[in-house]
Amino acid sequence: MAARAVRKYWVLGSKGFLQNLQYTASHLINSVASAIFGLVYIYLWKAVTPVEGFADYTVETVVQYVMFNQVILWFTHFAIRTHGRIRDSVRSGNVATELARPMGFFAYRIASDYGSQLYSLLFRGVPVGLLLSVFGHYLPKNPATWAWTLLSLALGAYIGIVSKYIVGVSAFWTTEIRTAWTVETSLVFGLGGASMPLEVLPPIAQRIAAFTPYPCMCYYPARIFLELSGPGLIWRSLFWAVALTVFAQALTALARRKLEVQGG
Amino acid sequence: MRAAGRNPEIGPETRPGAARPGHRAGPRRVLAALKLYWILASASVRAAMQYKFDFVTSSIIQAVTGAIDYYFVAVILWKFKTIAGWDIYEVGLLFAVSKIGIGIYRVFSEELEQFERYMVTGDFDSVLVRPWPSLLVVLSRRVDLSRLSLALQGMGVAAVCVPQLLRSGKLTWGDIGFLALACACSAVLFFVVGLATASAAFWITRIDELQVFTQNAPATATLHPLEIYPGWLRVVLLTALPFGVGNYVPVRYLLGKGGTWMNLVWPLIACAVGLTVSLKLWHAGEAAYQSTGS
Repeated sequence: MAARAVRKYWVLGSKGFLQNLQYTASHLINSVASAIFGLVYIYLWKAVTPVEGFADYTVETVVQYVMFNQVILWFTHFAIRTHGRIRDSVRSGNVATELARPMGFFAYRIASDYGSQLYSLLFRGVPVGLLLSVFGHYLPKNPATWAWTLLSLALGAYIGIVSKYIVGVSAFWTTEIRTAWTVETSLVFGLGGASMPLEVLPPIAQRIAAFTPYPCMCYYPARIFLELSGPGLIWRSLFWAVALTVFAQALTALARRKLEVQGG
Repeated sequence: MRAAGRNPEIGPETRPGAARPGHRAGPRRVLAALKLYWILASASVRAAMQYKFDFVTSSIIQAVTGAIDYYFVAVILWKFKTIAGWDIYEVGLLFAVSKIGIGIYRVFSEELEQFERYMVTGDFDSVLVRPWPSLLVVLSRRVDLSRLSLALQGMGVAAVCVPQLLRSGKLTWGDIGFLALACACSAVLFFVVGLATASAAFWITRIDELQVFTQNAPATATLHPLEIYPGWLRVVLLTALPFGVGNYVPVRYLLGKGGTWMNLVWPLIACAVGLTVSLKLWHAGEAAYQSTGS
């Protein structure tokens, strides 16, 4: 029974991965654009970072931090499409069919998107890393760091998808989610460390960021990969993964009662 | 469906790229085209205003949250004081000119940003059957006032930075007019690049990813002083993707950081050259257009 359930979600995830393979050429062009964004930020950080560095970052470490985040942002944030798909489904009324399927709406959406996110890491993130490697690259000294980084990233992507799922489900009430998405993206960049190490923020903003799930998407994986922090940060990601799942499930139950399908 | 431009059943006067009413440059035709644009654009605004509350709230929230780019720069400057010798108010001026420019561009040219859709769905056919220049028809389909939120961000930052720069003597009141001109040139240069990128859709159909490459990335790059970039990137941002000509070139001179009075003229020259090239590209693309679907 459990094996069948796993297989079901595996198939959904695989489909998400395979669908994206149709657009590999287009995504490669986008990878060049992402690398240019990375280039801009790298030159910016090289220009502003003092020779003696700041916090526990040297100029080289900041450059590696920026590079790592350019690589993983597609995996943990940018390529996630759950919110848009839910909004379109609510607008078209297809959501009624999706809710009637013999599988949880939440799990169905998450599994579909996780497959396409894995694609994004491999075919969008890695090319960006290769392009930016002209600035050098960092490889962890401790082999276990690779495993902790991957685990942290897997949780970060999951939190990113659930966060977008919550934005998408708001369409049951508002039908328009652009503003919610903009707010969420601002938080990922402002408090998640996507564009800079959190140590740059004013102390009050650092304290606020520590009580949000956003650092799980970028800051924690980067710290672990660069061996600036130990794997203890993964507990925080695990906590937020569970908390957001519970919240998303509760919101889905409310949305199910709220649903109104127009037309006939 | 055959290529509309190569269909012998379509007369030469209705073929893409052929002389259309709006193409005949007589002043009466130009006035008629502008009047038509006004009518269609007004209708588009009235349609959006059916949801006033949604429009106002989403514009305000987007203006506030969308200022993330400046938040990013402001936090860096709060921590490190300057970027290549530019302080927070000077960088703010660069940001303001660029954001006001892109805001004006997006209000009037939002359809160019969505132009890929015309190619993918074949919607451009319906544009071609109208007896007006296709670009006019495309632009008049939507005037997106919610994009004013981008210009509002710029104005908000300018409202903080300009008084400080006036007080410190880095700017004079006489410079304000040149700053307004820089904003207008910046808007035109965003239009130039947006139009050239949209024109590429006539050949390659999908331009979503290309827009990130030609518009989003360089627009972000020019929010910072160009001194931080290597020479080749500076050349790109001042020639092929000339957003830097719209904000960096005039602002650098106005703040006394180098250059000559020509820094105030280069944006006008870039606008004239850019408009000529991108309009030619659009017409060439229009002539090469092949419809999709059945």
